[in-house]
Amino acid sequence: MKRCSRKTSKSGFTLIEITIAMTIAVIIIANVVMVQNASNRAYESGVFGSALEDSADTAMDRIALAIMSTSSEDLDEVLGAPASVSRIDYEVIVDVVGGEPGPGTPERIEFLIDDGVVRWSRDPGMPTELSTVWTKWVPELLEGELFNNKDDNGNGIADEEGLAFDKEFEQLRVQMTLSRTDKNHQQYVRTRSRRATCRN
Amino acid sequence: MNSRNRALGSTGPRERKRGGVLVVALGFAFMVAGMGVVMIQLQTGQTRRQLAAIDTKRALYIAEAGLSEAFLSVAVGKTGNIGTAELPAIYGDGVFWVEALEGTEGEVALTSTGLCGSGRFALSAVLMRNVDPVTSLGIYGGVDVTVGTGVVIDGYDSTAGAFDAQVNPALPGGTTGKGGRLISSGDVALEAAGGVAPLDPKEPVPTATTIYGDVHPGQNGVVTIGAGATITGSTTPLKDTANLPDVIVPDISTSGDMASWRGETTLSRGQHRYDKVTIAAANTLTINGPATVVFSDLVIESGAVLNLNPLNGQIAITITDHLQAKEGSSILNPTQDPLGTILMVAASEWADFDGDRIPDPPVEFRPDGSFHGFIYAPGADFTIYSGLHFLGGVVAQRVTLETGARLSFDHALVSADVSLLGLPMLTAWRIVELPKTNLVARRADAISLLDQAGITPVKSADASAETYLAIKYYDAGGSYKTYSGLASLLNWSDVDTVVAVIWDDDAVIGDEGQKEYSPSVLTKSRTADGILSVNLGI
Repeated sequence: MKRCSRKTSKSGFTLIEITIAMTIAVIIIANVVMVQNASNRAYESGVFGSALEDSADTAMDRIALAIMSTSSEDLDEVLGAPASVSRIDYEVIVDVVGGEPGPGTPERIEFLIDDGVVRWSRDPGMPTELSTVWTKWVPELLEGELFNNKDDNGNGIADEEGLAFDKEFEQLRVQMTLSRTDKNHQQYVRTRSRRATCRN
Repeated sequence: MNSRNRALGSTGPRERKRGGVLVVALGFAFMVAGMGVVMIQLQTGQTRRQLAAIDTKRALYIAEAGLSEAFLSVAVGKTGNIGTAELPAIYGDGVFWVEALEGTEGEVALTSTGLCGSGRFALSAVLMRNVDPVTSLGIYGGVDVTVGTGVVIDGYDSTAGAFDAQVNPALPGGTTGKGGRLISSGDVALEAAGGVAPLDPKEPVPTATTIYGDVHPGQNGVVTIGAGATITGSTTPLKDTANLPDVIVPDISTSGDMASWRGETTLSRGQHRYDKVTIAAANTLTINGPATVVFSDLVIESGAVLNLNPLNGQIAITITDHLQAKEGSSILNPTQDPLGTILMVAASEWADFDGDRIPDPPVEFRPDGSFHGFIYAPGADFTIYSGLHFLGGVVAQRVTLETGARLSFDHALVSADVSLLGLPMLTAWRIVELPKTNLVARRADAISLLDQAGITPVKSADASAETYLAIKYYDAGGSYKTYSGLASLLNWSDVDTVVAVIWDDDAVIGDEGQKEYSPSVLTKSRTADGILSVNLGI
């Protein structure tokens, strides 16, 4: 009984065993944490980029529908390439009288360069003005463009801003870049281009 | 105690430590699982938002498909109603219905509601069913109109009889004295006084250009009246500019060239296409209506005759490259009905058509005698020469009436029902509020909801409200036939040329005052006062 008890008290791990075990455990835990962190970063990156794409697509859908609802005659100030504008004023018909579109409601889509936002407004400049931001994170210039009076990104327009409209007959081309930096200082850039035809 | 513990299998400090690693491992597992759940929830929320956006976009496309279906429906003379909110039409993975509202000015307001998954979208389009026909423009020059010395322009009404029967004997020059219709998007110039050869040699020779009726220059155009020229009507400028549609060349397979058409040749009713055709001197080509004919290059030599017989239906001839009716040729129309003969010229470029290395104009039209018809050449210049009495109307880029030319505008052209395009015109498109119906309010998949309610949506192609028709047509053998009843029971392969059709949603066809729709024939319909005005703000 006594021998047995002594044997039991001697049955612990040696220091070397514990050191080895702890080293292995630390290595395993460190790996798990690293994998977890990498996974988190990849996931967050995907979510971040995807959210930015969603914002770009939603804003472009809204802009395209607005253009489709108007008349090309309302968009005379929009120039053809290589010129472009970052603001359009147009009218959306609300009723048809005697077979002809009646007077419309004035609306505006504009890029506010200081705030980096695309803003839509109804009755702009009037007391009844109603406005909302369609998207944020719009940089000063479109992706790949430099302010040097040249067409750096090969889209036929020189020095276009982060939101750019140019006109070809009754079609408007809309180009927009969104750029955002996450907490890890990684920059995400998404650019969208779409053509919409004025239908009225 | 120890022995008892040992007996129970849980002995001493070492035994009590068993399972410690399992607890740690389980802790890890729960932590990882928890993070996984959070990620999945985040991902699910994002996916849900993306799916909702996709469904909304698909609903927009389905609503657009509904408008297209309704557009086609209106184009063939139906109301434009497709499906209903209770029994919508199925299209792709969604459903739609279109409500049509007929306006007082000939417009049809269509509202299409598209549903796909949880997405809903409503669009509205306004179509003009009766587009102002280009025939109503009268004598129209898209750039300018020049009227030479001694020209007489007047008007008559072919629905009231032949021109000769409407001539006012009290006036010189064999004219009706009724107003013509001379319009230009630019300037109109009347040259100074001169003589004119009257149709009847016994009549005294007028000494100056006389235009009975109105002359309208463009918004920024002017009317220059030379010494002695007379305009009996107004010279107010247009308030709007006519938009001349391009000529649409019918898709007909060609039978090749007919370099020299000799003898008496007849093109029967139906569709024909030839490339280069020359009607040689002393030969006649007869075309019987209703017919749609396309020529790339048509030359009528001096002494040749093109006999257009629209007795049984309109003849629409489209020239793609070149039309030349040489001096001394004849273009006859035994019915003397200008509505029966429509010549459309798609060409606009000069080219060497006769091989003499000198460019020729796309249109050279100088037959002798009288021509009853309507000529539409939106890209070409057109000259009416002195040897011709032109009865009908002409729309061209630049119209010139040479010294002594005679032109009588047929007011029946003003009220021709169908435009040359033959399609409704879209005047407005917009996004509208969703209708308040049960199917729209419940944000679930519409097809599943209908399935739960035991409703099977109709195929979009079969969802038009009008299923009955009364139709007049020619069959492939050339026999005139009529049919009245369900459209699905008509043997459509037997129908060669549709003369007129009325659609209805019940078996009593036409009881709601529906008008006959004539897809290929310009019809004469008159208002109480006889003459309609073209929508140019005159």
